[in-house]
Amino acid sequence: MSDAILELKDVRSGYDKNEVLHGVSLRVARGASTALLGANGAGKTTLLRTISGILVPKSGDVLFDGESIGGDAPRSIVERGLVQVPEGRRVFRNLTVFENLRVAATFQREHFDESLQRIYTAFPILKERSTQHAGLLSGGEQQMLALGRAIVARPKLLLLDEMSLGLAPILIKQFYGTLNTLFGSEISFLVVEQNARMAFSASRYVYVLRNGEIADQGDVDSFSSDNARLTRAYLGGS
Amino acid sequence: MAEIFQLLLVSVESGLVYGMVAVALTIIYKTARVLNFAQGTLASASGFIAHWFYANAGLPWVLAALAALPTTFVLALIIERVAVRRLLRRGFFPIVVATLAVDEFFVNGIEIVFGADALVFPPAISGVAFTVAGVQINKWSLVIAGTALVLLSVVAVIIRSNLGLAMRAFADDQDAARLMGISDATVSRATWTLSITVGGVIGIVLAPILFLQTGYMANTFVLALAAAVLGGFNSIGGAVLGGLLIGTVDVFAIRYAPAAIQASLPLAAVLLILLLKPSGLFTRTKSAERV
Amino acid sequence: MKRPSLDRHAALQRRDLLTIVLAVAGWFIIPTISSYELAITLALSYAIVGLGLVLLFGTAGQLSLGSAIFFAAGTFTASNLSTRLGWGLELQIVFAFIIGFAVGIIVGLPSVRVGGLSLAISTFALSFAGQQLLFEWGYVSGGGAGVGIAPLQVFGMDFSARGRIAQTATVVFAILAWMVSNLLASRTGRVLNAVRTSEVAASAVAAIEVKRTKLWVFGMAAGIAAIGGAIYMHAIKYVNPENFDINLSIALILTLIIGGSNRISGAIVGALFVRGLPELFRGLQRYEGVIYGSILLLLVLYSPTGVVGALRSVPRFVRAKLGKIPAVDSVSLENLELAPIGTRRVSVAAQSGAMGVSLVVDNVSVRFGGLAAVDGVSFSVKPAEVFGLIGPNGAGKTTMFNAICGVVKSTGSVKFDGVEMSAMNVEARSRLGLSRTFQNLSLHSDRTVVENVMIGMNRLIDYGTVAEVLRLPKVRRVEKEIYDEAMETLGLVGLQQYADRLVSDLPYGLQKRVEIARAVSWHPKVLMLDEPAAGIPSAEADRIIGRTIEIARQAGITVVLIEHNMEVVAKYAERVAVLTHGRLLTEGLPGDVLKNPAVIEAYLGAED
Repeated sequence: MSDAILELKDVRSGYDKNEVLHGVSLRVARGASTALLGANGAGKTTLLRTISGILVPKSGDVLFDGESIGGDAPRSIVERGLVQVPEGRRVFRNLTVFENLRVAATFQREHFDESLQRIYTAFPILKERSTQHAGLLSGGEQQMLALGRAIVARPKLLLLDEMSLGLAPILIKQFYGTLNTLFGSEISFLVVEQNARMAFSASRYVYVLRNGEIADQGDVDSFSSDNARLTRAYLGGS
Repeated sequence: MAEIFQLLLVSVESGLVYGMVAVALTIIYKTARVLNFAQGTLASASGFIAHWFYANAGLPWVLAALAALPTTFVLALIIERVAVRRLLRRGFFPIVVATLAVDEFFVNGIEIVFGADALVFPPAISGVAFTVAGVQINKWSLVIAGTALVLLSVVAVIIRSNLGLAMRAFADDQDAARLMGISDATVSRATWTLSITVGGVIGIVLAPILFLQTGYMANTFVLALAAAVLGGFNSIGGAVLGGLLIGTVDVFAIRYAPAAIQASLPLAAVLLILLLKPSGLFTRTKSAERV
Repeated sequence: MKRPSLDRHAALQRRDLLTIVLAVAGWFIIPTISSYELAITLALSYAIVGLGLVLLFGTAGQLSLGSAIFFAAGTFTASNLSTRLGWGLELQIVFAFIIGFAVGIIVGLPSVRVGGLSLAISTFALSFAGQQLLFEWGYVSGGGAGVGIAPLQVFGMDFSARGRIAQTATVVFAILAWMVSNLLASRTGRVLNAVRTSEVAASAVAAIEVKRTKLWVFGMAAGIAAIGGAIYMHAIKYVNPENFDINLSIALILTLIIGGSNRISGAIVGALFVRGLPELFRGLQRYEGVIYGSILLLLVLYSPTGVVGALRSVPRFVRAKLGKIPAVDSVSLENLELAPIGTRRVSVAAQSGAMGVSLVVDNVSVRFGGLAAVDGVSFSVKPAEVFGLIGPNGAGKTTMFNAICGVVKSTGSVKFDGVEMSAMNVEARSRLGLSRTFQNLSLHSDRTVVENVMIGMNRLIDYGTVAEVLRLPKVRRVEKEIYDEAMETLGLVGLQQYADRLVSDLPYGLQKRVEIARAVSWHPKVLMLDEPAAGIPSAEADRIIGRTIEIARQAGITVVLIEHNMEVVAKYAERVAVLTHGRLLTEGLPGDVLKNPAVIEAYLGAED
């Protein structure tokens, strides 16, 4: 068993004729959190969609737990334990909080009650609002719900797409802080962020994506201590 | 006064019928974003099939009706697999045209298989059930209304089940649903079979009073369509309310309005709603979508 | 170099000749096969309806299920005018068209605003209600008993002899087909196609009045269907409202789809196939629905362009296999030569007064539900300036663009050259001189490169519909001028050699160039570029943005661009504004802004 739970090998991907990712290679270490940073337009969401099966790579390979999943249907990728919390949360607005959690239990019905208890303990407000329509929740509450859905799905690898979007900084710090307690150490994370500093607190290794290519990578410490290095990677130039 | 009361009773009965067919149309719209133009014809096919079991296989009425249901179900599965599934991602025109093709196919097919003559399908029970305030209430009217209510309960139960949950999530946000592991194929199959079967049950219970001939469900379909538009194609409740409204207006128009007005009722209703409130009468507009 | 405009003109002349030959041939051949008279005439009546649907459905993409009623309008008009007033076919046709068109406009008015599925639903309801109304309106329709028709006479001449109606129908069809073909080949064809393929580009770049266009084409299709109905009346000689039910509406549209929706040949092939054959093979009639329903389903699944489309795609497929159609992907983008920007462009710009126009945004907010995507943003773009708009994801940049061009509702003021635009719709703002490109390209994908640019130039065309229908010399002249100028614009972005390729065949980078060509083709005063560098290699982005800015500078066009590629912004923008969370963070010179700690923090996140 390799020590990388997710590996991308020279992946090219995009929409129709448009190639957004021009040969991306990266590895997500097992049991740890890896950050994928970059300005918008860099291709981060395209990358996550390719991993989750919504997009099929034009070339290159995606390996999960050693097995190739490039081109697999989204459903079977979720079944394997690769779960994504999409950008903007995308909770089901017309379903209640409880129904949102329930619908995430497609492959993990037996553990649903147990997961539910964990979620309600970590986020009491969800229990309070369990019969309300998810569309009425605030941004922060929707984020809790999205994380709750992820817990229900009991993933091996969790992809988080821009959790910070639309949330107050203090909430973001809180969420990143609770990730480890919520999910435990067996789970691996790929954290995609535009807000680099927030992602640092939760990650061990960092990749920076720019214009569809990996512009830089390294340990978190090497980035957090060197401002200029990060700025260069994000914005280019000298 | 008794007349008004009778008209109201008939309105409720018609309204429930239109409402349930509108529910069937709404379910398909919410998941596939299209209108099933073949709904009326397929509902009538169920009626013919039930009659076949009754007249040719000699089954008693109720058994004949029950036997027609699995047949309708299988028919729906085939239609979904052949005509709909592959067209799901191609936008709404291809599926609409596909339902029109299915409609053409079945209108002719019914005639070929069951003959062009009108068939009589006597109701299982007939006569007056009881009299209230000077108005006679037919037994079969009770059967029709009762069936509609049963269907409503069945749909309500299914909607709350895990499968119904998956359908509703898919209708809400397709991509997010896929990310939860919800399968396109499962939702599509469930949607179309439920919708066509509901329509079929209505087609069967209406057969005794409308008489089995080609196109006997056409008028019901158009009024149900108007009901669905009134409900904004948005919710089961809205569809039922739309049905009751259309049923009431239709019944009173037949009685009191000149024939020309009564004829143009469904069109006028649809156009008016589209003009004034494209999202339907019975929808609560939630926060607007991003461009 | 090839002059495709001359080729097109030659092709249209060939078509004219062919039409005359067919009409004449039909006139002389038909009496020899007069036993097929009924089949031919019925097929032609359907084909005429198909012509209208080619415009409405095939080109403009609007699905109408109400054709039977407009068809009926023509039928009963013909009947009443001939039996009650003794008028001949020529008047019956004219009045059928007028009445059909009028009914179409009345019904279309509420429906086309919503379009799409709603139009299909309301026309479906129309078919039901319309048939009932016909039954009720006994004076016109004869109620259940129906009506007949007086013997055929045209311009006072007696045409009641055997075979005459088929001959006449052939001539009528030929004339109508020629007219519709003229529409398809010029402005109307392009405008309708633009409405179908990209409504937002049609209104924001070409200033096409989308709603009015949809209503107009709906009326036209209704009027043309009515002419078909008039012919039908003479063929069938006796009719009652029973004939005009929803199944007829469905049959009429299915006929076109089977034939092939966007070509006139599809109308004829479909009609001969669906209406002609069953008349010839009576045995078939019994199984019509099953046969045609299955064929249609197969076509929808496997060949959406219908029988004609399938037949045409075979030679194309073969040619592609034989290597006769070169692929475009292998092109090296660097080798595309950009034509020099001539003085002509500068002087035209000077004539149109485009030597610098300001764009002032004042306290603009855009709210979706409770959320403010743009919150009280103000900035000024100076005349002929290149202004950059940057900011992290979700900052509201594209929403800001959409607010400026009117695609989304906003509060606050947007002034174009001092003119307040907030009360104007998208088309009106575009007419002022506002142009744009789109983040996710909005090209008209089934048209050629040059046609995409010609659509952009729509406002420069000054011939009317009557001239267009008759293809008067003025039309030919203006079309050639537009074509030539479109080619010149393509030369500026190095795409002349691909002018006649389908835009969807081009690689992404070249498609982006087409969008730019379309946006500048009509000499706008303000050009908004939405992420012009996205999705293409840096070198190509630099090349094409550089060329665009050059064109803008020469013509005094004010440019506003949204970008994420900071190298591009630093190189080309004169001033930059930064948006975060829907608000303006700062503005100034690119060099300063990009070094501003608050800006860097907005992108990278705050320090702990």
